[in-house]
Amino acid sequence: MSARSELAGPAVANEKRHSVSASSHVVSGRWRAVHMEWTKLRTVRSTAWLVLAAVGFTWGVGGLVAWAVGATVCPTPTGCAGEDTPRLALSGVYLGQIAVAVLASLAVTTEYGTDTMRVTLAVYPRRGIVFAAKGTVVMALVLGAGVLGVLGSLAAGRIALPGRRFVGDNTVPPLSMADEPTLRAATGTVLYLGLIAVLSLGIAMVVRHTAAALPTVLAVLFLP
Amino acid sequence: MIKEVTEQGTPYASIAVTPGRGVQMQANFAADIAGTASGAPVWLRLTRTGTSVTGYESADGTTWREVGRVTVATLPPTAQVGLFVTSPSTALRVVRQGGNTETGPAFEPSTATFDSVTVDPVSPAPPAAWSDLDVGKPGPRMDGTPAIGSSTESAGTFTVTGAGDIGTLPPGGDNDIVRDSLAGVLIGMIAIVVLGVVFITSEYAKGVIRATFTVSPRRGRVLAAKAVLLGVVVFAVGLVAALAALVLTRPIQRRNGFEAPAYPDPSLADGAVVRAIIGTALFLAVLALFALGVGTILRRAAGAITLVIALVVVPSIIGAFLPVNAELWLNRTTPLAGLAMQQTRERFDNAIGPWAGFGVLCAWAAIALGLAYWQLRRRDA
Repeated sequence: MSARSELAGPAVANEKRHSVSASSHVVSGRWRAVHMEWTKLRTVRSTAWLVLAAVGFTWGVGGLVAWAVGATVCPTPTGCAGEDTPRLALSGVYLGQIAVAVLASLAVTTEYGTDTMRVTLAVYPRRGIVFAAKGTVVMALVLGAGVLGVLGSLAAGRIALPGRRFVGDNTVPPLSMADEPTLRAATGTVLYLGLIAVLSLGIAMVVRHTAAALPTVLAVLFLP
Repeated sequence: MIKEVTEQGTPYASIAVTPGRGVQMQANFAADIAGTASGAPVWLRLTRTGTSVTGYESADGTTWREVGRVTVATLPPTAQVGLFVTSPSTALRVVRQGGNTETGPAFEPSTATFDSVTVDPVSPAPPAAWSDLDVGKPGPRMDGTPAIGSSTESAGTFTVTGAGDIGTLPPGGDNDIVRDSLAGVLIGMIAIVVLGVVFITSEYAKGVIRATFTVSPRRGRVLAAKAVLLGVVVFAVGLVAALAALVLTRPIQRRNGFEAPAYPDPSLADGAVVRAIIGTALFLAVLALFALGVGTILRRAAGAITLVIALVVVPSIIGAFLPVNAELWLNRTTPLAGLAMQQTRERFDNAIGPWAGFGVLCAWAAIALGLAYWQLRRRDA
């Protein structure tokens, strides 16, 4: 195929020009693999949409849930004191993770679908490096989106909860990152999204097809 | 009411007048004999001969009409008799505590007055007066306080208040075992969604769609042919799967205590069971058509599969975080409403009726296929 030789040609040439010794070749090769993966991920339109969806769902649903919860059905005025407000505010992650799982799956399956994988492996025959580079790039992107989503939904929850008279009378303190459990929940949620990305990446590597990878990943996420 | 002992769940025979269904004679949680449809005030009488109990009603206290005759096999020579008032749960009670929302029935006691009360023959060693008690533990009112019954007597007129059930719930509560057996459809539907989407998107991915439209230029006909074929195949598969699920899970349920009489084996003579089985197949078939429509509109497997699966799983994921009314609303309006076809028991938490829920799913499929047809005609292949 002509496309393959066109793509593979300059990449191999570049590598020869930059590699001086064996060890520096490996190091620069790894980073160039990361750079290549980043270019592939950045330049497809679905990535931007899926990041937007992950952040948007996390904010939107979290804010909605925080806004919708009412204190009217508590057995006593202080009966809702045990309310886990950070969990409520972060509940949008349940929907946002769908976008994360799809993003990570597509990062692999579209390469197989369009045969770009052959080019990639022709350039980087060490498949471990390709997988590590893909994992690094996808995870970095997802962690970034996760930080945005989590901070945004905690902010939305902080605004929405008192609006529903849910916080007050010292029953439930307002959401704050200075609160240690809240900080842990926030960090944990970001890490959770990162691991969902790695899980999806792994499943996609095994099944290789979009139509098989997506339902498998989503079934694993929502089976319980 | 006449009983051997007053404990909840023990055999009984009773006759009562209800606000909506007139006079009813009931016994042993099974027999239910209707009298005339007239409401209170009415004269009621129970007579016993051995273990046989006969119920009578009368409009004037002189002309008596037999309502029915039942047998309470364990009724001893000396039995307990009494006046009773009850009302079933009419409302859903929501309690939010410690971050969890619990739902359950709420009870509101009813009150009735009885006069001209006689017992004949009077017990040889009569108690000094009538005593009252709640049969079983009183359930909660809407505000959480127990709905405790009471009684007063004034010059031979009794005023009795009470709510709840004289029976005990079968194990596991009021489970819909047919629905439980068919719950696997929640996972199976993911494969069906993929099938429906890929049926069209794979043609776009490989460019086969151009060949298809060259051979058959009328695009609506292509979409219709795909829809009919997909619907029929998925319906057949769903029917076999639903029947097999029911047959395979029944022994497990029996082993776990879901046995007759509270949980009889599902029978194909029962309309609700047949509806649940056919409804499961119909649900899968129409869901596949919805997926086909979305796949045709988006033309990409990734987007279409994600969108359809997100739509069908959303209520079960975020519903748990939302107030109960919002969760019910989600269960009524998203495509998963079609699963209401699997209901075989009237439960207080059913979101929507079987056919109405199926209609909601059909509406989703119709809109998706309609948009797909419109897009198919105006776009390049």
